[in-house]
Amino acid sequence: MPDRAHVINLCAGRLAFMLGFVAAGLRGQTTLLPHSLAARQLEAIRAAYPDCHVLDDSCKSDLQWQDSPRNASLDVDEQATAAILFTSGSTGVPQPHPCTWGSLAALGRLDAQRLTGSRQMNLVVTVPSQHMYGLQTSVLLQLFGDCSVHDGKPFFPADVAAALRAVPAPRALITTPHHLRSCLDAGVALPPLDMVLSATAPLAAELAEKAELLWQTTLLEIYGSTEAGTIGTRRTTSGEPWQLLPGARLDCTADGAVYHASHLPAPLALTDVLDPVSSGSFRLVGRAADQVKIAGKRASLAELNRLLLQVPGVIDGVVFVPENGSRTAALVVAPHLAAAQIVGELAQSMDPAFLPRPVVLLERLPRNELGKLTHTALQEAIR
Amino acid sequence: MPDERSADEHLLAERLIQALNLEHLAVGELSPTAALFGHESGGLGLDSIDALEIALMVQKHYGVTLRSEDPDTIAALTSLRSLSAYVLAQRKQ
Repeated sequence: MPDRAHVINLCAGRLAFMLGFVAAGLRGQTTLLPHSLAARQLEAIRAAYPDCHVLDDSCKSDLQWQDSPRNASLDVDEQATAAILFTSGSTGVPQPHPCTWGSLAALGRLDAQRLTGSRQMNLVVTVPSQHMYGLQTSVLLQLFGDCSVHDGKPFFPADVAAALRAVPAPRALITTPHHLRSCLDAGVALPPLDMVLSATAPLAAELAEKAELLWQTTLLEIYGSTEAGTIGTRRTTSGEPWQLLPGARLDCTADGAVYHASHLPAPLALTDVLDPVSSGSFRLVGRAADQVKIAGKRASLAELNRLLLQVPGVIDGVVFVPENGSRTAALVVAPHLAAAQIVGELAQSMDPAFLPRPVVLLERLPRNELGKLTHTALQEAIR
Repeated sequence: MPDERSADEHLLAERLIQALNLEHLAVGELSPTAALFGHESGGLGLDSIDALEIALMVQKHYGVTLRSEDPDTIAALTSLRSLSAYVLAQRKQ
């Protein structure tokens, strides 16, 4: 690899990604992990880190392991920045989150202990290695735990089934609520599964029960974030509180919860509302009301609303997330515009994942006598 | 005319709009040759969430299973026209 300070690792294949990630680390280079492959995200990152080299799946033929990744001693500086992950804001401007090798190694060991009981498992991962959850599972559980990872990034339910059939037992499927629902709805037959792991969005208890019953497996859920990695884990069907990682604690104040964990360099303020049950466990009382998460991207509803109201011809409007919806929806008052025009205008400024569907045009918004838009009124308006 | 639609394409367009919550698009506005993914020249700008919904929809209505390892799948997801041709061909097999 060229002698640059940063490597943008775009590899989808798990082996190519791992080769590039470890090679960069051994050479003291920092890996940059863009949130999406969208051209403008890559351009923004390349502009901010001009001394960089871009690595994609074609590198596989040029790089070779001299030893298996687990046996190779990872001779890296614990204090060095291993990776910078990027999250997208409402407008898609990437926000950097640096992690040191020491921090990732500690997280990998804690996750391996908690999720796999430090057992050997063969993982099939549907999430990109460039996201924290994907990095934790497809890379860290391999480097700092005892797992092996299927090279593919299966997408369609039939792909997931084929990848699982291609690896020996004990098998684990690492996925998201969205992919999980898709596999259940498609009714694909899966080989015996020892574990299913879900993260990135809350998993409905009903979906978890269905998956455990149909696939005769144990479904674990991670509650975490790009900044924190894992905060808590639980078996969704148990209905029990979330368990913090060993040695971690929550300080709950009137301003919100602060997360202390041995893998984090500094305490982290959390935006969700957490209620401690014991020193090592908590209940998730509410997600931060302003946060919306779609296809692994985060945005602020206030910001999405601001972008909607900026559209010329929009008199009033609101963006919100409907119950059981996987997208945002919008109610808009714009007498001279068609819904398609509004979406077209929004697409100029808003990340496509957050573009509202549907856009419902109304004569006025269903505000109550105080001028407020209640949750119920919004739900009814899009029915 | 390239923009003229067959009855099959029209039906698939209706099912796409329903499955993907694209009700702001009239069926007639969905050009059979416009890109499903990507925004260039009238493209719909669909994403990976949509691709999974499309897979469920074609399985339900056409009994066709999409697989990434099949190179024709990627080509099929180019436009309404290519997707329609693909699912009809697969269904006949």
